[in-house]
Amino acid sequence: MSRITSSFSGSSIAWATVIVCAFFFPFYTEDAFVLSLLIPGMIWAVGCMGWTTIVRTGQFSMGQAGFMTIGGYTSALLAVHFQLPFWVTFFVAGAAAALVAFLLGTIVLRLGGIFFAIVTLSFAEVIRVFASNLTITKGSYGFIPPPPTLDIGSWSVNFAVTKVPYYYVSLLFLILAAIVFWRIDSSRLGRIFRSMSSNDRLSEHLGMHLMKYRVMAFAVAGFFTGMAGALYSHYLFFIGPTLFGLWESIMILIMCTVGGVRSAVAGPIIGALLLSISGDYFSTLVKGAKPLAFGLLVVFVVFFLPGGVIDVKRHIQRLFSTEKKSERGLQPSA
Amino acid sequence: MALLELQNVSKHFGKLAALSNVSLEVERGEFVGLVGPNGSGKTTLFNVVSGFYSPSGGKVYYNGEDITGLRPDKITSKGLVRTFQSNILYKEATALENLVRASYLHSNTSSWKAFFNSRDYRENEKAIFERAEAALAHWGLEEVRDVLADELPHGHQRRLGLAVAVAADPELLLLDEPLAGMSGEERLVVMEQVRELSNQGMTIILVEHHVKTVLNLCERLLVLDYGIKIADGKPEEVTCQKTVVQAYLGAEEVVDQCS
Amino acid sequence: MPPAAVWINALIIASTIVLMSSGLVLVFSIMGILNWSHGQMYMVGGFIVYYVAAKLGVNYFVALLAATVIVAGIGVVIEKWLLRPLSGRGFLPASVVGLGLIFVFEGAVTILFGTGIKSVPTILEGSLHVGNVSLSIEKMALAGLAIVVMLGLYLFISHTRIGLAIRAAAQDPEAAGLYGVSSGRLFSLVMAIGCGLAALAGGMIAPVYFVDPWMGSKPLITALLAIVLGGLGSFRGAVVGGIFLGFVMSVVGYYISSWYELVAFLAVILIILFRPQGLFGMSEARV
Repeated sequence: MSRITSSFSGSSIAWATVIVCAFFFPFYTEDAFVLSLLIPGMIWAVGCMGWTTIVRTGQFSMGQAGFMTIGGYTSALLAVHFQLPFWVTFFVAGAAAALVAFLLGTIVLRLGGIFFAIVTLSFAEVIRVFASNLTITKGSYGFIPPPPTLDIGSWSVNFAVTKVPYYYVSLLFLILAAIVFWRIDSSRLGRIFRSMSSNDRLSEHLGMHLMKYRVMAFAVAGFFTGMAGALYSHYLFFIGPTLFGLWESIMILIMCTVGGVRSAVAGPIIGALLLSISGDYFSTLVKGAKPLAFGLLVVFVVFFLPGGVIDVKRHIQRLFSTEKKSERGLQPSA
Repeated sequence: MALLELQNVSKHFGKLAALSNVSLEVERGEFVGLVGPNGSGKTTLFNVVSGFYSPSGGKVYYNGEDITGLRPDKITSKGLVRTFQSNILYKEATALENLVRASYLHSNTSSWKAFFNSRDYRENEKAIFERAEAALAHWGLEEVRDVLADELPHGHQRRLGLAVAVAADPELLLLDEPLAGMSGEERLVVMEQVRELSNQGMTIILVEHHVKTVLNLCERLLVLDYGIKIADGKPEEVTCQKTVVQAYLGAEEVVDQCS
Repeated sequence: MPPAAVWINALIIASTIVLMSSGLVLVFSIMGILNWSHGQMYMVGGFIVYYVAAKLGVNYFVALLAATVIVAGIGVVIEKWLLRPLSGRGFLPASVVGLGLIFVFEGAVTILFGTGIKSVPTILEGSLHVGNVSLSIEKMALAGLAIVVMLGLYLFISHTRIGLAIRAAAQDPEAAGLYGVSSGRLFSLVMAIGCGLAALAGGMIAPVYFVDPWMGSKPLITALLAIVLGGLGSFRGAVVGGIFLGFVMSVVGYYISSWYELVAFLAVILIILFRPQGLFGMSEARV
């Protein structure tokens, strides 16, 4: 099995434990502060899984924040103007973002590479321009999406008072997204993505339709990133043109790199949570400390820990592993 | 009907004519050598036929079908597979993984089924892995099954590259210098395997610098010079042709054969 | 027909974009990597001018020179210690580092100077009256400076041995050695020139508008779009692309103030669809 395939074998128990703990966490502490760190972390984690998936097809998107803006506005607009419930607008937001990703990808992914990076960067800016200037989006004032409502029988969940309902929604969203991205990565699709990333010319000549899979990855990432934007803006009770911008696109990249891009799910989640939590600490120090720290951190990771935090686990696993895999070289013979 | 037919194919890069009005036919089952000095357009020819480039002029037919300018993946799916001079493998993947990836055309389930891990898909995957293991055995690569392609000795890499191409189920195989950099002993082994492929009915066009190899293997030679086809026929006849001798200027092996 | 003042503004904007895009394309075509922190060189250049001219009271042009030299030096350090060691590892690590540096510089400058915008006092008062048109002398002088610098750069590249080495290396990285310049030295030089140009642009803009820690991102995006329009490896293309975008965006901005960025984006989409090698790029590059 290729050594770069992220694998949950043996660590399924670990994941199950984490998920169970995560479910019971709010019973342990209803501290709004802690939840306010975890909720964005989980939402960013979904955006990060999207970015990492795109990277694992060999492409570099600098515009994921643009999809969060699209998702946020779509959901808020539908909720405010058509009174649709959050549970509908949430998915429509994803679909809208996926559609835009599909169209943009179809135009630019043929060239890929640097063109794709530059155009996605510019695209996020353009989305901001649209959001700032169209009357329906209320310009730079942005507007306030209503909180979700959930009524099951006689039991009504109140999203406006505590953060706990948001915590569970975010957690379920994260789990759903993680399953989807994990499934893609461990299937033939993931293998095709890795092939394209490793050697796209060879892949094409072995029968793989590059465009089809590049656009697929970009659109799926767009779908979940759009939903992440929708959830985040409902959580913040605000959507505005500058909420998700270049800064956020770079943040996603840093989170994924620190977590580790060799892993499709664990790396992005770890990176997102780690940086969301520590980011708060840095922003209390002095203005500017957070970007400085994160910038230095990612440079450090690139040089000294290229596989990200997830690689540390592998290094430790290797130390304790008794398996002998002949991964290094071959005896000189026939 | 010829398996492969080129009609007046030309390829220009700006003012440079890499190919000029090349026409040729290759029948099913032939084993053709494509030779010519450096820069004569052999790789460009492969690039045009495999869809990597669109020709500036002319047409390419495969099995009677016009494949001019089609995407490489579409052309490969029709049974026309080509190899490259360099960068022929997935470097950071194991030998087995390389062969699994190369079996892409053997996947017969949709992406949805793959995502939902349906029974058809799982069976298909199992078949693909078994096929890859079998290929490893066939090409003598079982010991290096889990070795990264990048860490294989050169000869093994070349052999694996050939195995990868064959895994894509070619009807027509375009080999671009598959023996480059191999030791004498390794060359013989691989030459044998290529000859075996031809004996089993595969149509092969071989680009090879080492003239002796080509003379030994191929029943027909095509010679390119400056993008123009200057010879096409039996090796003994072609190598004595004046234009061919002039093109090679100093390939003594060639001249020696002639009376 | 927009008033003359708009054209002078357009000239300034175009000059800064051209300085940025030519610096960017120089680094890209010689070293094969895109320097994402290019916009930060612009910003730091502007801040150095602010600090030296406004806070220390030194003459503006001296400050401008200082900014250019210092930022060139920063560029050399980045190239030698951060980018060159990554050269064998594909585009991803170098890009991640470049983008990480955006955060580093924005963070550092914010810590040092705070988040507010800073202004640099006008260096040349007065306007020139031509007919019934009033043109700011300061703006014209700065635009003139940019033109002089670009001319100097053009002469340097086309008429000196080192310039020849640069042009050779753009075709083939090993070729620089033929002209007696080691590729390492060449990379440092090219990075120094590229970053110096960006700093100059930032320093020039400082008295005309203002400086703030986030001023680097828009020029970066515009410069990137300019080099795509002009053709990724082409110096001429970067200049033409920069002039085109600068003028189009200023003029469009005059009429429909906020949509000018969309125009640039659409222009690039069109180029990608119909002529991906850009206006001056090599034909049939399989990019």
